[in-house]
Amino acid sequence: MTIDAFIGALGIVFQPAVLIAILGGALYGLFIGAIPGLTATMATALLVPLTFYMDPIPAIAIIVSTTAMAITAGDIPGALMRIPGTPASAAYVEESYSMTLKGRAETALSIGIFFSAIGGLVGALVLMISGPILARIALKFSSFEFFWLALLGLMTSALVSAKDPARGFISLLLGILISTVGLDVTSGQPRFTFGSIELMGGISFIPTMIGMFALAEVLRGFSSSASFPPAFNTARIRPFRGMGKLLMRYPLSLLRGASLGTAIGALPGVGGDVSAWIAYGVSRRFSRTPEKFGTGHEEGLIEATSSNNAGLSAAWIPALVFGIPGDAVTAIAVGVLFMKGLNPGPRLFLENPTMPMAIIMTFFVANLLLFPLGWLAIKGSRHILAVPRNLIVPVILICCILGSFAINNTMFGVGIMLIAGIVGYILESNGFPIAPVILGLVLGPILERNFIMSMQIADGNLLGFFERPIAAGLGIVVCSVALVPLLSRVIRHLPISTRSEK
Amino acid sequence: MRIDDRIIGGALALLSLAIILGARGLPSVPGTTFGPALMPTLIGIAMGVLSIRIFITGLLQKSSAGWFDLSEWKGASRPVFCAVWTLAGIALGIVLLPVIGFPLYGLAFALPLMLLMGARPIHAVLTSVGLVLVAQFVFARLLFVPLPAGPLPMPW
Repeated sequence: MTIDAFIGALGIVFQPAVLIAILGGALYGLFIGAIPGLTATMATALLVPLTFYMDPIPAIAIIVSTTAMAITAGDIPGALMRIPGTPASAAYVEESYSMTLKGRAETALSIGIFFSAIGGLVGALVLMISGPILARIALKFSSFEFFWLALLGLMTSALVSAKDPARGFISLLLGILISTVGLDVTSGQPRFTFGSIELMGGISFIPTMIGMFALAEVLRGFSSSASFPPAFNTARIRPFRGMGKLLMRYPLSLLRGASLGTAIGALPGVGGDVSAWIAYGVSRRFSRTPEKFGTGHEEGLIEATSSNNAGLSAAWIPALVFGIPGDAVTAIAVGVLFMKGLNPGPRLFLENPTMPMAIIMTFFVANLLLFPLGWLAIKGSRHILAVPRNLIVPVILICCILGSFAINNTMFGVGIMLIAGIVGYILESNGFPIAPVILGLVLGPILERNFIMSMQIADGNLLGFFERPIAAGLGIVVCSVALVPLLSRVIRHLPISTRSEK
Repeated sequence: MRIDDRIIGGALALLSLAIILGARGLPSVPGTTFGPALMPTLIGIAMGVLSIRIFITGLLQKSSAGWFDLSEWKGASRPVFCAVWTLAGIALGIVLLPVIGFPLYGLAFALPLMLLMGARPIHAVLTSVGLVLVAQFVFARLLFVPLPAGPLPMPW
């Protein structure tokens, strides 16, 4: 990237049309993200017809700012009502909702927006500096590396989300099992569909997520074991208060979350969703106070939420540099770029470096906009907790029904949400965590596809999973994650005399 | 609702057996050893092992609360009615919503639930009517979700 390209890009981004597109996209993203069940992907898809009438840079700018804001705003219903807006928000919804239950909703929302914005800025910076290098590394990944990476995300979520790892793994297996329903990812054979045409399309994670988190929470709210978030002190609500102190206290968490988000988000086909889960798990593993996780602790929330938006920016690395989308949002954006005659790939960087630079700069502007718009969102969200519970619960349930319906515009999604809600309530009442079910459902197809492909390449030899250097490194990390807690438990239970003899 | 670990372990063991048997019935892909049955079989085996562990934990603990602990639902009857209304309302909605439309269904579901939960009638009526109108407008008009409108005339 040359200085000329940088200056040229500045001139493009600070045109009124681009700035209006960014602001409009951010407001639209805030609206969509804050409605449970509506995703950033859905928001982007709805924008495509509008981009027909726009110039290339405003068209991409509106997509960038919409997704950045929608992903961040997805934390709002998560923190206030335990309804995660996105699969990535589900990684830390327990943490933020626990904070709300303790009367710290303002802090939970502030962390969600403040550290998301910083994570997004870091991701954009990395995208600008090292995008092409990261994309080249990511392109060297084969099915073996993707398999280990998916397994790492899944194992981390199972291990960190339950006191009893066996229950965490059962939840995870249930999630992967649900993901096997539908057409088989490798051969296209129908599997566990029981003759239902709708089941052939698989079970979507959105209604499952809404049911397991929101409906289950509503059911628990009716029982005597329920606890409710206290109302905001409306007189003294100050968004972002104390964020500076948290920034000074947990700089490593922020840095690690943003780095992990960037590295994982840059992998084609994996996208940013996994990064929040891995970041949350890593944060707990390296924390000095892991026992506080899940009780409304800032540390994991900071790391996961910053990795969330960093991953979002980094997902554009393979999309822009090689034309390989990292997730559904970038897949749509790549389509828009092609439509506008800006074919993404290395040639775009060589022939017209101003354009990719301008696109990257829109990330900076969009993430900076998160601060003022997030401030307004926190100010406005206090009204949600001020509404009496006997009015807000039916409103939440109607949102759940509509959000589940909107996935395929059929009542099938509502049925899935209902069953998921009952199952989620029973699972949680008996110590089984919900988060691994959702991640298992999201990552199950990636895990299976890469596992089957790797088994075929290695001809069934499991040692083949360790033959490539990066795969071997990731495999060792996965094995360590699985074995270290087991070994430490065995050592803890050994009699002291036996330990001293050794 | 707490369920004894022996029942959970047993139910999960049965599920894992069903998964393995179901996977055995899946057709194999010609020319390859690793077909659609591999992943479900592995899931079934892993779940089977873990379910035995949970069953043994239940055996060792021998909970004094009985096989099912429903203590959190005992006492006042209103919460039970609310939970039943919620679940039955959503289940009925799967059948009724496409027929009677969202505005009517939304009112019939939300208004009684608000009253059951102890909301003042005037608040419940205003909130449920406002909710239905706003939700129908946002989803159907702004987001182009084809929500069934039903017989109730809408202002848009």
